[in-house]
Amino acid sequence: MAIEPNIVVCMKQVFDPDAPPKSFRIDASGKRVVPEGVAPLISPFDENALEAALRIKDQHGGKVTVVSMGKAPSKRVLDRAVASGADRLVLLQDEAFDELDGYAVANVLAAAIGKLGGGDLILCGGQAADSNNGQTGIGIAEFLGLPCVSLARSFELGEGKLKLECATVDGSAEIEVTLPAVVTVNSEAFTLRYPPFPAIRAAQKQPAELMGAADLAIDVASARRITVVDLAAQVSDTTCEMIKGETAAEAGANLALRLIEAKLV
Amino acid sequence: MADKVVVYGEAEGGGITTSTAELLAVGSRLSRESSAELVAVFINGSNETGAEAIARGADAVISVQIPQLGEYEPELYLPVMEMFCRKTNPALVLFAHNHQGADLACRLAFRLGTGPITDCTALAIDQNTGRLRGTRSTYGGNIRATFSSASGAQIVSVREKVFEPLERDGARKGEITCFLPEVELPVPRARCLKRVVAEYAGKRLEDAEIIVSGGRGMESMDNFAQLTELAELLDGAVGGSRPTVEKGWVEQRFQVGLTGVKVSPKLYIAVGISGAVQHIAGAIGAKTIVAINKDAGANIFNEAHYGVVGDFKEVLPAFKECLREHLGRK
Ligand SMILES: Cc1cc2nc3c(=O)[nH]c(=O)nc-3n(C[C@H](O)[C@H](O)[C@H](O)COP(=O)(O)OP(=O)(O)OC[C@H]3O[C@@H](n4cnc5c(N)ncnc54)[C@H](O)[C@@H]3O)c2cc1C
Repeated sequence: MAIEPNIVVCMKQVFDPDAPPKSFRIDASGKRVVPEGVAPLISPFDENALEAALRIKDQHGGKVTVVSMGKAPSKRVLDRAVASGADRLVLLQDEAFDELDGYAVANVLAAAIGKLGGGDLILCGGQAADSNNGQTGIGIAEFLGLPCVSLARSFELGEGKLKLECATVDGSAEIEVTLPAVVTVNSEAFTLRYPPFPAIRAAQKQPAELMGAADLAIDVASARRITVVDLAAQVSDTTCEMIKGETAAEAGANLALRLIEAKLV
Repeated sequence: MADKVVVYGEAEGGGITTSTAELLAVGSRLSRESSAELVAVFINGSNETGAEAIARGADAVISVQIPQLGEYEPELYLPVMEMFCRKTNPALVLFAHNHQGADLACRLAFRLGTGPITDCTALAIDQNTGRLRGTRSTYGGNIRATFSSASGAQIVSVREKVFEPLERDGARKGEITCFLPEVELPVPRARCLKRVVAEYAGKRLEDAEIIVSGGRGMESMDNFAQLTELAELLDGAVGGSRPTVEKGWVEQRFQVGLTGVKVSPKLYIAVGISGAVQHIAGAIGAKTIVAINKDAGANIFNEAHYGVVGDFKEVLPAFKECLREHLGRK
């Protein structure tokens, strides 16, 4: 097994997390963020997971399947994954998949991965760029009864197992996990390669496979556990005391004096 | 039997970690708001650990004794905590949102058939439903979201250094019980082969009361090194924004932000940092933020308490010189 591994990468479509703060508006219900004029893209964290998968594929061969779930994941956005080297794109698309909580998301993804025949290795980003929850990988593993290793920054594939390096509080840990397994990927380790232009064109031509809630043997509506009670824009309530001087140097000295006076140093 | 609010405790040198003391402080308030008992649970805790937890607010301590358990291994700790929860049926379990707590909270929640509320910075009991409301930051720090669940166990992880520990009260009384569970530990499929403690020059961000942090505006590695001198003068640590880590001016473990360390020093001095939400997400815990930036319109000034608009090349030397004179250090 796993000489040519079957890798599944879960990728979420999000609104560009780098958009200006004021574009993240909250709608009238107060329960939903509706970004205004912000482009959809693949969550950068999941790009890291894809790159990790592609590097394993570069070295060992195998197949990379990208699964993306949502109310309406856009093929145009996810084509980037195929253009970069993923073999197969599966869009889990359904009204019922709108604004699911972490528990339901993991439930749906696990069911879909099962339906697709599983994988030797399932990779997820460390968190989603919108919810910043960081629970999908662990959740999928629980639903599938697989081991999960969090936030790996290097991969070494062996016979039926994987050696990983993960950051710890005071250094790093080398972890060996038997396959099949779920691994979440460290966001600072794998920058997604840039796809060549012909590959982008080819990806656009390759159709995506579609799946809906009816294709999965779960009741999505009753899979929710956590609900949103309230949303608020994060507003800063600090006022900045600007320290001035005749010159920038003098302002620097005045800053020192002010911090000493305020007993901050 | 009263409901239980459980704190997952971590021991440290015969006592408890600061994060555990923080959890006991929030837990103590939440248990009062919901007329519950506050129980601290330790895996292989000692009597001293238990006594310390009581002095810091626990009503009772349960020490789960499983000698064959060593350092944190998710696949071994999870069934122990699962069994503990199935036996004691807590209304609420609090974990610190650190390396171990964030991971275990998430696994435990899913194992118990629910989702966790992670990295909470505010917690309250809804007086109508009696359920917990956990508030956390989402959208990279743009939105504060409050979550709740309708039924079942409530598993949350709490951001470190947000809540103040209670004053230590050695006179507090509480029962410490040992619990020897009958739990069959699986053969872990993920095993730690080796742990490496990395040696770094300089103070850890987590330990520092003062952090001097540089951004892309520092322009070069040599300039960035000036921050080390400043940090030494202030007995602080040096941090950096994500671009400075990418450029190799500072090591990854010193990155402040959403995907780096979330710091809570007394003083955070940001030099040449624009103040993107993802950076602020890691610095927002600082009591006081100082910004030095040549662009008066930089967002960092919306978050800072003191600011200087100017080129760091002019501001920093004078700032340092003046500090050195007044602090009487070399
Ligand atoms: C998913 C995701 C996660 C992220 N995680 C993190 C994270 O954990 N941490 C993080 O920091 N970022 C993170 N980022 C990146 C973040 O969005 C910003 O791009 C980054 O913080 C900007 O770093 P900076 O302030 O150093 O650089 P810039 O935004 O380029 O700002 C440089 C600043 O320096 C000032 N400057 C320039 N020259 C001078 C001078 N001579 N004197 C004084 N000032 C000067 C400029 O006016 C400017 O304000 C993340 C982004 C994403 C999308």
